[in-house]
Amino acid sequence: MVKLTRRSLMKLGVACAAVLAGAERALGQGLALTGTLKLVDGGMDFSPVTGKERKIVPSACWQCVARDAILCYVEDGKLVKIEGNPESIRNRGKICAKGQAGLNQVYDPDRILYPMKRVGKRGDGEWKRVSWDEALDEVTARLKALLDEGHPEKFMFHYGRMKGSDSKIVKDAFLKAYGTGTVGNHTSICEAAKWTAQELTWGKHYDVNDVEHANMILNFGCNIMEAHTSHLQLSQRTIGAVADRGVKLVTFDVRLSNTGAKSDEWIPIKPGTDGAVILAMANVVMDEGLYDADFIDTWTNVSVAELTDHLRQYTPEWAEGISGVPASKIRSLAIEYANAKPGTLVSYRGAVAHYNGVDTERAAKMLDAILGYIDVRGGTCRGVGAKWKYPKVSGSTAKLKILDGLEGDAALPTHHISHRVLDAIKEGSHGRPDVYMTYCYEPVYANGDVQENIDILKDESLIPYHVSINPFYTESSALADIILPDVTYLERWSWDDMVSYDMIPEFYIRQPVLPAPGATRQFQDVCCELATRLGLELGFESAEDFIRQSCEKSGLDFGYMTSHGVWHDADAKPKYKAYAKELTPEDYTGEKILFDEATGVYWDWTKSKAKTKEEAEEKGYTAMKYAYKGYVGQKIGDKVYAGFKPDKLNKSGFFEISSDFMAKKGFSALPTFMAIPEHEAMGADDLILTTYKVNVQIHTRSQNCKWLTEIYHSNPAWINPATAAKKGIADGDRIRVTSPIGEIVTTARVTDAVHPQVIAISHHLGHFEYGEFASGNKAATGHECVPDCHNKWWSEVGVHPNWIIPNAPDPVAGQLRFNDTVVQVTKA
Amino acid sequence: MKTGAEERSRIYGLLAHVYYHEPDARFLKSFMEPAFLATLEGIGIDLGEYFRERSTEALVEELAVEYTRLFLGPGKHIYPYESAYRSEEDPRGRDAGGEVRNLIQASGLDYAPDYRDAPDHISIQLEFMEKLTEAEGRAWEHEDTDTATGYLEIERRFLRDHLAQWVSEFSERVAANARTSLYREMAVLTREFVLADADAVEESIEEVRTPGGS
Repeated sequence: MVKLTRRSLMKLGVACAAVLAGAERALGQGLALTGTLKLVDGGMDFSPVTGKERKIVPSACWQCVARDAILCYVEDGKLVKIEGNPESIRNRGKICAKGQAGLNQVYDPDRILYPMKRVGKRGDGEWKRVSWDEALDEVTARLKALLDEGHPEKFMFHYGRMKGSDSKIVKDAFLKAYGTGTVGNHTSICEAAKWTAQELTWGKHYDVNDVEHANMILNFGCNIMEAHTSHLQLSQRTIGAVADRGVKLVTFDVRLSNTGAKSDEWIPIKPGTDGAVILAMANVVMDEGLYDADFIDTWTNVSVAELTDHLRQYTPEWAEGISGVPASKIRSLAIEYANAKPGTLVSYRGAVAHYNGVDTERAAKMLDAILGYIDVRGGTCRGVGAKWKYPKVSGSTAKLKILDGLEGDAALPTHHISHRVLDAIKEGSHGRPDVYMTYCYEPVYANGDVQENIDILKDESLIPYHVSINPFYTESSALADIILPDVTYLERWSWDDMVSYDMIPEFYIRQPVLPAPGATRQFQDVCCELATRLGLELGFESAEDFIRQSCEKSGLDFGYMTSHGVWHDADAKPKYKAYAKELTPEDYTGEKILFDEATGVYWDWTKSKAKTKEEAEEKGYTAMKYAYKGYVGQKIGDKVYAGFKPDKLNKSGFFEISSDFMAKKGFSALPTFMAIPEHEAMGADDLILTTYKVNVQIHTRSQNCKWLTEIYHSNPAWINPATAAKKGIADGDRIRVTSPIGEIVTTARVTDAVHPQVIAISHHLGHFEYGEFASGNKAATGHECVPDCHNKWWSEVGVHPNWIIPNAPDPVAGQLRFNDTVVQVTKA
Repeated sequence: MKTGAEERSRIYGLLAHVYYHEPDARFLKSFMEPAFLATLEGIGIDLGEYFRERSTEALVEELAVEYTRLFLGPGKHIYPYESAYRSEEDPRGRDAGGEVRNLIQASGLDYAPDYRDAPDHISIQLEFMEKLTEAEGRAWEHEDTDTATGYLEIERRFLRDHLAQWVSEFSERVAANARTSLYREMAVLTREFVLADADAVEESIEEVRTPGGS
């Protein structure tokens, strides 16, 4: 009888080790198995039916802007599953629900598979399939005519999501070779206020909150777990910090988001008052002497005394009166945050999509700066992304002055005011494009004031020719004259460069997982053909060729990239404190380098618009257009440092807590609190409409993904019980929400999880085109479908709040003030 | 938490060795050390006088014949492959080899280039457990509970879906057909140890998951 106890097994184990050693089988040496065992999150998959290993195509997600590295599993020529790429240092093998549902983009039953030409009036919905030849003959003729007239700028290209090589091919190659600079983007509906504020303070935009090493996280208005621009990179590191290290996460939000729910504390705050609380925290830091005097004195452009003076007015008691956050709470959190050493402050649209968004973000960066939390491990860092080298095209461009909206819209719109472009076209004083081409951009749906967008886009006298580059039949492509069917991201060649939260650049590519269906073509390839037809030289033949050449120029092996999808330098160290790098005299001396006495900046004048060295010297660094492009370094004391490199503005290399750019435009040089005019004037019964995002949808382009919309297709308006009671509204009641520009009817969800002065309606839903899952309206084109694509058991399509949100820009950056609209809410 | 992963790993390693190929002199010499035989006796495994009295050279020869007769044939022999122990009606199908290979490869390991036998061989399965428990032990050493639990989960899955499914039947056949005490007794140990370990793995996972457990 064999007797196995824990103890006897231990003994036996030791004895077996001796036998194996005697047999000269070294520890860890295999008999028949080789390799190293490792726990990986994916990297291999098998058919549950046949047991066969599925083919893997590494690529990159594109559902949202986080653009994570993915592995796509293909079985019998079908894409069957998407996972995160475990080799990626960014998303570390994780992928969110939206990423997994990428299959639905490919097998969307409403995809447009052929070029379509409008028949009848614009917007009537009558289309004729045409060949690519016919379509491109027509588009080329229009573009050629503008070139012949000498007005390439009358070709306006307007994009929504276009990053990495997709952007370089279109914008820096094709459009540049063509000669138009009338190129619109979409940043003003996202977070332009945040970026402009960063350009004003620390230069190039994009912050990375190094939560993985932080000791405390302050979150103002960001739904980290569901919707941050770096989504999974930040959310998984935040969860790790909170769950594994017990790091305190405090969320200020008008709504109890899922991030609020995962926080140690959710602090409801009146919309648009985050800046007041941050200023008060800075006040406490100065008052209590908790600041980092060395950082302030060395790296910023203000003194401790100036800061103390300026911040004296912003007491916690003052902030409590504005924000509703108790002064004692502000004080205790400020002290805790100052002692965290380091902490990091996360901010996003909840804080910045307001009238005062720029100063809120400036205050946020100031708070981290005065605590010395800038660009340090565990602090708030300047993003690090891959620096690809790629084929370049030379040329000069001209542009219509319609990208920054109307006169007086904003003082420093460094990221343009895309949501006001249609208004500027209508207004017409700076000319109108003859050809308006939209690419992955949904002006009708994504901007505010939906009706006005429709009216302008429909008006052939304002926009004579609208080309929509789109894989789907959206609200905007429905108002096109011709639709060129693009591929989805899973049939596309690109390289990409999203920032890395490990502060080590990651190079990664997107490659076709499947062949392009129907007659769809990657638009970057179409650009190559258009260039040929127009006699323009790009220097590459296709998107794939561009990626190959870029790999070669960047020292990467194309074969490695296609088989792994990602690459980073395994020996690289995280790039903290890049600003403190000391330059050598060779770096800042030479024929082209000038020293600017006023700012202490060394700069290469040839990269600016200056025609001669004399002109550059005479105007000086600050006044010379595009001088920031030649920034070399900042003199501090008798040394020269890399400093905080500027972008878009001729800022010094200091961390500019005080901004001359703001002062010159009539704003406060130091961050201040700007009360929101509409909120000051609102009546006692009025509410503030706020918008938000959920974890299974992106803003505009995911609602025809069946899996996602099956989960989220209903977006009742959140309203606080106290507020609802006053208005006689019960949970589930139909309610009317009225703003100065219109009204919507929706359903009330009465919940304590929202501030009493707020009504919260998510973005995402209420499409009226795009396809059967998004809007209930099947698009004209039939198409191969995933097996369950017809199993639609719900009929709701939700409500889109943008019908009643005006296209109002903030006065500094021009950011669409998505969370400022004052509304009246009544029972419908 | 300590699951004795390192010791378990060595036992799996030894058993893998037993079934991998005919024992060579070096292994047998080491195996026949009195201390080891005493340890075996301590748990009720007695190889008997015959084994102790034979010279190593003689044993190498006799056990080679026995190994061949038991596991290789020609003629009637015992299949050391999981797939042979799955019935026609098994809803999983009979491709145990494919499943085991997938699992092994998905865990980062692979078959040595010169390995020519089927992927679901008993020795391979024991060796895979050896590797898993070894890695688990390393993780406990580094106080990395997450990783250790991750390996425990794979061990559980592998034992439940594969090794523990067929080890009894296989071992019983070997024990019944063996003419030498070594294969008979090792077959008994294989069955008892694997089944006990399958229970122990379940318990360990329970323990890790219980709040307040270490």
